[in-house]
Amino acid sequence: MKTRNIVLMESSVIITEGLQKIINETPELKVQKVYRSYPQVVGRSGADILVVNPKLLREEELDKLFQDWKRENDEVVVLALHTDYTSAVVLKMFDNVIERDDNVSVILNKLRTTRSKNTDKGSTQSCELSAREKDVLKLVAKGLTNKEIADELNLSVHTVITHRKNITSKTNIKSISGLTIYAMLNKLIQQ
Amino acid sequence: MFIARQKFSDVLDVNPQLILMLPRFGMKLGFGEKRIEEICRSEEVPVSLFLMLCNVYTFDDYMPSDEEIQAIEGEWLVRYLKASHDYYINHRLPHIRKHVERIAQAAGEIGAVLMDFFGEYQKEVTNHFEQEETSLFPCISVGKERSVTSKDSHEMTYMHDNIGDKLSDLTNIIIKYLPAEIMPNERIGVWFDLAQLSKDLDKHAIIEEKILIPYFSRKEGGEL
Repeated sequence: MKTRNIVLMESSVIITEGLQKIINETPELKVQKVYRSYPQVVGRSGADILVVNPKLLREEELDKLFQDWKRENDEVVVLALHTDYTSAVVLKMFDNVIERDDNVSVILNKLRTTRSKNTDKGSTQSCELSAREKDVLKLVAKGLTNKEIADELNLSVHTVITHRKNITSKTNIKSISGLTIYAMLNKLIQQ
Repeated sequence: MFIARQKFSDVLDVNPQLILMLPRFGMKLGFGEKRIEEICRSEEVPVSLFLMLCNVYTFDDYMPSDEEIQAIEGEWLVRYLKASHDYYINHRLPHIRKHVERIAQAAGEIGAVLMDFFGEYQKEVTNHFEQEETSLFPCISVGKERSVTSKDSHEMTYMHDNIGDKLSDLTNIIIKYLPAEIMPNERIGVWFDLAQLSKDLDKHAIIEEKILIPYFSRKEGGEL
């Protein structure tokens, strides 16, 4: 199993020592570096997971982290270490939130299973559907299965599924009947 | 976390949604400045279950322990869940339907499709509740026991996710995707109803999946 490297950014020694103990007892996780304050430059550190206390970041640093850095490094999971009150809006930017009162198994679970939100397809980028996604959506709305759509558009079923995932993440509509209404409202299909 | 010695009116200050606990437990308004334990005692409602549900409703990371779940009064939990179903089916959804109807009437051709969508949702929710009430809830009464299996639990979770997705789709369509000029005030009004219902149903699902199912399966030494 590949070891995943973790970078911690937290001012409290009590917390970082505790977290390191928990993490380093788990073979597939390793603390690579600990910062006591938010570093001037978060480079390509090779970290797989960044655990950062949001209170260390000023507003513009927070913006930079999620607008610029996370886009360049979109495979890195960024977790908030939530020790003091932080607004829900800020916490929502992170891939997941480790709470101060989480027990060991919850913490490990969050570290192991959280996936990086895909910033490119998420809220930060345009929610406009691509031409191909529109083609797929039209056929979804007509009630075709993935296989039928793949045949019709000369795509693999796998590609159709990827398009469908992107359509749902851009529109935030999951059901076929909901997507049908969306397609009508956007004049992609006739009523 | 709420405790039995707290006044119910203080609890409501923290989470106004909890007013819904009263009708669901067959309790009345006019509780004045009574503590939770006093209200429950005078209405003969089990305090521990009442508190447990208030806490689940209010604190997202709270979950009762296995021992606490095994100690609850199962008949009361089922009674609570049935009363919740009744509230959704006979009060909440018809109320929201009236709003959606007004919006649909102003939406031209798309209106009919929107009403179909809502009708489909309403039917799905009703069928799901009926299914639970006829197949799952009777397991609580003596003489009607059957094993609650992991199939019950998976089906339930699947339906809850499905119902949640549809409600979220409906909300998105009404707020984000209908043309701006169609009934803006009505749409903003129904947004609060939809948000409240969605939150309420999420907690309802958690109570069924994380409390009712474990209660059933442990009680009978089941397979879960």
